Amino acid sequence: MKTPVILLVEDNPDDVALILRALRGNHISNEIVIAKDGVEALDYVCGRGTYEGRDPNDTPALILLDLKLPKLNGFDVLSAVRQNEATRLTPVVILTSSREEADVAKGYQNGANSFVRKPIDFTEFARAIKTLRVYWLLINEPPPAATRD
Amino acid sequence: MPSSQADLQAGAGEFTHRATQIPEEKVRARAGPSGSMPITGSRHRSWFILILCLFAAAAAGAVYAMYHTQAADARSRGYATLEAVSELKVDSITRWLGNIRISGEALSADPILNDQLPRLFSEGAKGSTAGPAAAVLQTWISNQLPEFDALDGCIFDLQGRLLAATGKLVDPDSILRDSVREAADTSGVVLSDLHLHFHGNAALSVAIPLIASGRALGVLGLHVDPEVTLFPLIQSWPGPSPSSESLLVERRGDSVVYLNELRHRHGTALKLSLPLAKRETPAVMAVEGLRGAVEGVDYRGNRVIAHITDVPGTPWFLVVKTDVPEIIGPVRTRTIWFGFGLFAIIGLAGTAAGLQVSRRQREGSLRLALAERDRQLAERALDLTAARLRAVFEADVMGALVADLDGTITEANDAFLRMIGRSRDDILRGSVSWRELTPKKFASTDDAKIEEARLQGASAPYEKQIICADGRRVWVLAGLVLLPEETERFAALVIDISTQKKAEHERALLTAQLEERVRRRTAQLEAANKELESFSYSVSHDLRAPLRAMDGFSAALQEDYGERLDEQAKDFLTRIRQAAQRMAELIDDLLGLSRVTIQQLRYERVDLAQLAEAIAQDLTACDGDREVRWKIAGPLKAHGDPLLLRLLLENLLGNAWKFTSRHQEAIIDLRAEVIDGERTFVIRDDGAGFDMAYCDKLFTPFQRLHGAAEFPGTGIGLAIAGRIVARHGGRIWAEAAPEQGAAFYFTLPAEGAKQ
Repeated sequence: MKTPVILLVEDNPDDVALILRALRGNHISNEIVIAKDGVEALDYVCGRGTYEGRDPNDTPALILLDLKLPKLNGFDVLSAVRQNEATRLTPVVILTSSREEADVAKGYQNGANSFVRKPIDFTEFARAIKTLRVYWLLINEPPPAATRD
Repeated sequence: MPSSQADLQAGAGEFTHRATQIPEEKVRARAGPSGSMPITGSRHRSWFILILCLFAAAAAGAVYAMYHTQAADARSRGYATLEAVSELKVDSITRWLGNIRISGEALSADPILNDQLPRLFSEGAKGSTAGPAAAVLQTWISNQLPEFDALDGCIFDLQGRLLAATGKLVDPDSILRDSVREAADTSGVVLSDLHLHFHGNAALSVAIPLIASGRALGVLGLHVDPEVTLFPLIQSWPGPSPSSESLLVERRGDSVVYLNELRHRHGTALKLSLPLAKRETPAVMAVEGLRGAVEGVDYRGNRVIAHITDVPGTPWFLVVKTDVPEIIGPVRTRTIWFGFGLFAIIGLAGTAAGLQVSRRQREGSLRLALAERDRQLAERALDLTAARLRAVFEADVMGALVADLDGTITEANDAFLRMIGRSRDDILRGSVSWRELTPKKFASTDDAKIEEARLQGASAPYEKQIICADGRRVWVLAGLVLLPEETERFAALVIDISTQKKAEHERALLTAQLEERVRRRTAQLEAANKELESFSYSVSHDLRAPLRAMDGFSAALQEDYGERLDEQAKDFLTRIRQAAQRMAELIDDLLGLSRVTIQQLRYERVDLAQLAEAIAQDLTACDGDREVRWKIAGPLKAHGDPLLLRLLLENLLGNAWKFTSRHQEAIIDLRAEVIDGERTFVIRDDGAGFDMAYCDKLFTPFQRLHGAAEFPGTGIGLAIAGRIVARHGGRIWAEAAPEQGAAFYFTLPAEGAKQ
């Protein structure tokens, strides 16, 4: 069985490195796909551009989404993911620096499943990433494949 | 008597009415001659006498009419009284007769009779009226007499034999015998008519059958004395009337018999009778069948009004009557006095008017002279008015001019000439026109105002400009007046208002500038706010990312290369991480402060005590080991943004909590006090306090009065508190001393006083 893919949408290479480190530290065996901006994220989801030929029905198990992104920002990516039939129900966790009230509200309104602020303290950060992974990939029961089609 | 009182009032009303009329007529009498003067004295006099006579005639007519109506009134009131008395008396008479009959019937069936009567009767029948049985019966009869007002009585057996009798009644009269016979036949009580008793007085015979054990034995005959009850009852009169009386009459043959004793004549009962021919007598009218109110001549020959009724169950008639003079007398007296007064007034008024007329005649010639004087005075007044008008026109106060309707100015005062910069010669040449002085944009207003003056005589004042000789335009306030004697001309009054206009213009300009400045400032503020908003947004996103990297990679270093680093290197890494985390806190605080600054206020009614209770609970829950007494004197009503006020209290109460943490026991107190007339909220603690030397730095961001080692914190809390109070338009200050606690005071403007 193919391990589920985690799509990490993050433009800051430091954050990418730290997140990967946190995930690896958790012995996560999932394949992690990194998109450095909004356009790239949507290319992956829809199987176009850089990801031309990828089966768009092979959806990621979890999308970790930053809000401040070059080109298309996090909210744009989120609405596009929700409008895309295949990823309509895919769990999306917003992982961002800010906890501006307006951002949190907008995130949920656009269909985010969760909103997590990146802690500065790496120990806490690693714990948060671990919790997310455990919850969304192990505890949470994903929507059945039939409903995705 | 109430009726006569009413009469008096009516009379008085009439009197005052006349009294007010007479002076009116007097005035007219005075006005007539003076209006048609001059006329001769004899014509005056005849007019005057005629009017006076007419008056006297009218007054006499009025007096007569008054007497007539009042007399009729008095008569009808008299009749009403008589009718009431009559009813009363008939009722009494009927009841008296009824009582005799009832007493008789009671005696007739008295059970006592059962014992004695049969024996006495049988014994009495054997002996004479002088026997012992007769004596007993005689005593019994005597005992019955008072009950019936009876004079005497006797007893017969059923065969008509006399068994016993009282007094002198040894030979009963035929009327008593008839009654006794009827009673024996019918076994019922029989009452006779009034008749004369043998000793000359009136009496009423009553026969009562005596029944013992259901069997009639004999009859008791009695002569009832009407003088005891009946006659007094008829004679009495309910009121102080000198002439009123009542009569009981009956027809006997061709005459009417008076049955009772009369008021005005004695010994009349059954002895006075009048022939029926005397038809004007009320008694005769009664037996002839008249009923109710009548007027006639009584037995004394006096004129009377009377009321006639029959007495039911008897052949009698009751006549109640009063002498006419008694009824009419007061009316007559009043009328005489009134007439006398009226004529006296007319006489007096006539005399006064006569005197006045003769005085007027004397004054007639004087009047002509006075009229001439009045005319001269009027002329002088006219001259004076003209002079005044001229003075006003020529005064240097305002411009004044006269112009034709086409606008040519024919006259103008110096003030106006100076205003427009023209000479008097220009006016005299007719070269100055009101229309040409008016700029084009005011031409239509001007035309409208001239039209207004033509229609209404004057125009309302209006503002316009006038073109001066040098081309300048002067603002003026103008008013137009149509000249009454020459319809084709108008006068204009003109005041130079250019100074006021200039000031007004400057004021408007200033206002506009101010408004513009406010608008620009507002726009700037809005832009600054927006900028600050986007700035804090970037800060919250971008400033944190490098910190995360610093902390994250330091952590990676520690984890991955920990064994290769010496203690000092590890310590450096720890310091880097602590610094990064502290900076993150500072950033968060700064964001919090900017949010407080930017956020729109949402005013609501808030109970600060309630908020404080909740905060106290949170604080206590976080550190339950401490002994802190919260004294919150609620409710503390305030008006402001509930979220920001909560943040304010969180900071202030959190401070109090924090700075009392080194004391074993602490008291934190929140209350409202009035300080300098202003409601002020105070939070007091008995904690570490601070030195007042630094109190000016209290509310500056990141300024701390205690070391981080002593008490943790970034120094943003009071800055936020200060910002929140300032945004609500209030003030905040503090009082403290080291180790003696601190007190924070703040005010919040009351509801309705929003800035």
